[in-house]
Amino acid sequence: MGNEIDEREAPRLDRWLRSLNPGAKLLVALLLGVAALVFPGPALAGVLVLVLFAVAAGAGALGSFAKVMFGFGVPASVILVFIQGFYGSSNATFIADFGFARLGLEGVLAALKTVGTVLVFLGGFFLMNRTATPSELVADLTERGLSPEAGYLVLASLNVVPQMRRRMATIQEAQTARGLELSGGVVSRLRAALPLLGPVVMSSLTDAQERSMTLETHGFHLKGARHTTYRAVRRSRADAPLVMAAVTLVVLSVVACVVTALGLVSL
Amino acid sequence: MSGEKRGGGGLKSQFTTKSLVLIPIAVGINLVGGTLCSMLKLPLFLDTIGTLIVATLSGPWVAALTGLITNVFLAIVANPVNLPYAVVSVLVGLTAGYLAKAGLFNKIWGVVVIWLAVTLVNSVSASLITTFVFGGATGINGTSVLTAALIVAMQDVLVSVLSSSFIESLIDKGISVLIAYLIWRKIPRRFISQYASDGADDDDDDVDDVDDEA
Repeated sequence: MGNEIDEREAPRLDRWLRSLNPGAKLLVALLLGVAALVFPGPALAGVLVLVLFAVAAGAGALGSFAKVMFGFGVPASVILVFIQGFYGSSNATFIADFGFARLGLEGVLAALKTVGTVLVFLGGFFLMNRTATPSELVADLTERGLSPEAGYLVLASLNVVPQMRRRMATIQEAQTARGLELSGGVVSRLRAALPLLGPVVMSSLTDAQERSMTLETHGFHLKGARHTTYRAVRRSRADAPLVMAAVTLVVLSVVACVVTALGLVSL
Repeated sequence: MSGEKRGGGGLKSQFTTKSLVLIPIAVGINLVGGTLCSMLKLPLFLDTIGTLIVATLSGPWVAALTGLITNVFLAIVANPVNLPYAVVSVLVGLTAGYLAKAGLFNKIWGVVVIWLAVTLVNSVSASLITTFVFGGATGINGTSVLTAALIVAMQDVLVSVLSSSFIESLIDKGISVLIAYLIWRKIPRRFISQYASDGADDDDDDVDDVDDEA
């Protein structure tokens, strides 16, 4: 929890986001994405993306948030609008003629909806990751009935990745010192993959053996034993209303979807 | 995340503490494949090496769970686009796991069979998701550009996605399977025997085979 000091200087919205229950935040992020997915057309996704941008700006994270959102959103929109707009099977109304193909309105809308929905998930997860540590989230989910094994899998995976990246960097230096060629043609670069990855895998397997012995001596496999954590899970009075609001949005989207389906408007 | 729980609960016998500890390591190997590619500037993913190694060590369901967690991890940390592709990773884990259980990872022709099977499973399932969930492309890698070019030439989204996905996985899975195989050959045999699950009694014979060859 090295960000305790930062928290006091952070904008009020950021502090508020941090004070929310991590499980509730995950649920709200998922529900917002589902609402955008179910709602007919890209409108709701667009609105939610704007709301998420506003929240990120209020929490003082606009720069990194925009970088993540545009980094995915721009290339995905370009390529999907191209594919769906020109070659989508649902195209009936054409809004522009480019000579080699015509741009269809339905395809463009479908493409925008897909990208928008993914952006809602992306933005929701980004804000959640920013304001809750994975260990806090897992502690919360375990309290709510997630099995400790599943919790271990998630946390250990999260921890193991940076550790392995560091190990790989060390091995890269060692192998370069031995004269391993990391540049050059594709074949020689491919050949370098094995000396880099091999030692990482081997040492990780040894590591796994130690971990499993440690876990067994700690009685991790015992059934019925209570697993405790040092993580204090935050709860806030705003948790329940937020989840309720997100659920309402999903219900409204389902209603909107059914209404348009009955009104014979195909998407 | 309920999927993980169900996977762990329904097939408890395969999920010993040893396998449980192996899964995060394998997830790490999967994810470090991306680091490796950027280190060597290779236009590949190599994100199934861990799944393949676990498939040979602990069997199909542990490999499937490894694939699932890899994608859940990528979805939450990197990009939610990865979440639907968890199905692909699970299928790849199962395919490789059952083929490895049948002893195919011990013969050169068997490795080729695994390569082709994994390529086929991967490209078909991934194409279906790309086409029907995302409408043709996700824009997060170079394959999308290839797909777009093929669509211009062939005028059909599914066929184009399938072709570009097949070409991409033929190369990517080929190298992944080869690396996994070479690493697996180097893992000390004594190490492998401890992970063999209940259903994999014949693994002992396979291990002897390799020792004889080596």
